[in-house]
Amino acid sequence: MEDKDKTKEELIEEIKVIKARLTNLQDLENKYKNTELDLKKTKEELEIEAWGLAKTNEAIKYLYKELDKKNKELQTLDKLKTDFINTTSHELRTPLTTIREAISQVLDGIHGQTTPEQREFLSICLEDVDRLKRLVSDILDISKIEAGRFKLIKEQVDIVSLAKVAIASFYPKVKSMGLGLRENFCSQAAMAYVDKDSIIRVFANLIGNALKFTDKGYIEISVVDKPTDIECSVSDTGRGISEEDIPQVFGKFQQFGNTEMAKEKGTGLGLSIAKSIIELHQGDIWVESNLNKGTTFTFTLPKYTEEKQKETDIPGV
Amino acid sequence: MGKKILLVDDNSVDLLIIKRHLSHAGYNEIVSASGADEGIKKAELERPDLIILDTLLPGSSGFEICQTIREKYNQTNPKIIIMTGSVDAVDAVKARKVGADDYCAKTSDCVPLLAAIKKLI
Amino acid sequence: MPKKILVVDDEPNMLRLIAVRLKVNNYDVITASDGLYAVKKAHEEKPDLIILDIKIPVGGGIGVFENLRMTTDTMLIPIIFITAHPSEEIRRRVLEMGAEDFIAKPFDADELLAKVRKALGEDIEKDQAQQSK
Repeated sequence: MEDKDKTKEELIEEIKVIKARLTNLQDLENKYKNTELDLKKTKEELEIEAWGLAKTNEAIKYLYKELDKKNKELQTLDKLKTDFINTTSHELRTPLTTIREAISQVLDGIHGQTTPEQREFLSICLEDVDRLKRLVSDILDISKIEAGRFKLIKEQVDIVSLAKVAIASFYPKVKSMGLGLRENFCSQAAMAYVDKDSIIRVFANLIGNALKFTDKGYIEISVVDKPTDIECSVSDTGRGISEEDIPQVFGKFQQFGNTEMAKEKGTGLGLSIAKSIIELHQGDIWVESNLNKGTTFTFTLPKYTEEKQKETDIPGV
Repeated sequence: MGKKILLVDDNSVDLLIIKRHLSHAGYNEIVSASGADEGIKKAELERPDLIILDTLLPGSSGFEICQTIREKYNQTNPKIIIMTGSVDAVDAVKARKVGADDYCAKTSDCVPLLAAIKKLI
Repeated sequence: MPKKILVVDDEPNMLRLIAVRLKVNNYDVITASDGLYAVKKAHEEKPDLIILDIKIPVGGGIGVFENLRMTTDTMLIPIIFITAHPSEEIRRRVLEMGAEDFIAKPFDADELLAKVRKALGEDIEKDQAQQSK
């Protein structure tokens, strides 16, 4: 009797154990299924990542090739710009030389006598040929400046010496106009790191401009040594510029005031070129004027230091 | 080939270049949109076989449009390609996740784009 | 005895004008309009000065220049280049190569004559003549 009961209890126990084990196994099976799902998800994500990486690599390779291609195109366009400027220069200058020389020769009597009236009209031609010459030169310079192709050859130079060169070329004209010429130069050397020809040109443009609008009095050129800059100015006792004209003074093709009175018609580009040259040298230029009292154009050039030389040695800029 | 393609790109020059290359390759039914809303509207109206989306669009992105289209319509049609013109916007994984069928670089010769199109339609 | 000048330019009008101007100033003038002919004339006539346009057919002005520098009978003839591009680089390059001078188009007669006189050493002669007075 006892054996049977004992065995029954044992059996119940054993069933409990088996049930527990079954539950365990089911849990494990679920965990396994979940893990399998997780693995599947991870595998899918990894596949997407792998696909992504491959696509990214491919895209980057293509985009770099594209960048290279665009760079080459830019270089070609750049060269075309320079070639255009050079070709136009040649094409415009050649006929101008021929025209000028032919007229000159007839005027000089080389090809037979000429009447005063003929000479008068030929002189008119010559004047405008010269004006065209200056215009072509100025336009080409402006094209070069705007295309970033205006090359500056910088060297250490005493600005006073450059001013003197410009003044010398205008001296006869100033004297013939009966005007005074004053110089106000600092006592020691005013050294700056500049392109000589360009700065002489700036002085020349400013002096030429002053002469155009001054009938009496004088023109004064000064070069002053300031703490960080060399400050240069060209003043005149001329007609002056009205307040409303001042903002456009450095604009292109600006001829302001009464230009019929000017003895030699300008190109309207001189001041614009002067401004561009000064800006290319990291300087400033401005004008102060009073109607009928006179005008002063002032520009600054940074003083020469070793650091400045290294800083500004950028080709074509 | 008779397949209709919808192009969504806000750069008019790029659109012109791509249209030209596509028509040279024989795909003549091309419609275009320059913004996200226009793109989604045209996707519904025109029922194209393939939609090409630029990654960068004003106020939105190719990814957003792709996601919207996949949610609204169909998970498999139309086919969608997302293309990028800038290495900054490279995100191929994101493209796959929003349901695009392919992802490629936008180049001026359209070579990668045409290869991707060929595989899909 | 008048000095002899060889003028080389492919523009016939320019060539004629320069020739007239020089003749009027008592120089003998020979002309050429391409590199090959220019070299031939230089050897034949042995001019005292050559005015040479940079852009001419058959070798270019620079080609002619290099050629003439290689033969003893022409290597010492001074050469003035004419160019339409007065760029710093071309200027420097040409002067470094040994050209006597440079004139940029458009130029006027006075400029050309002044450079011709200088290249032929005529200014110096005048100065010396004056000094000896």
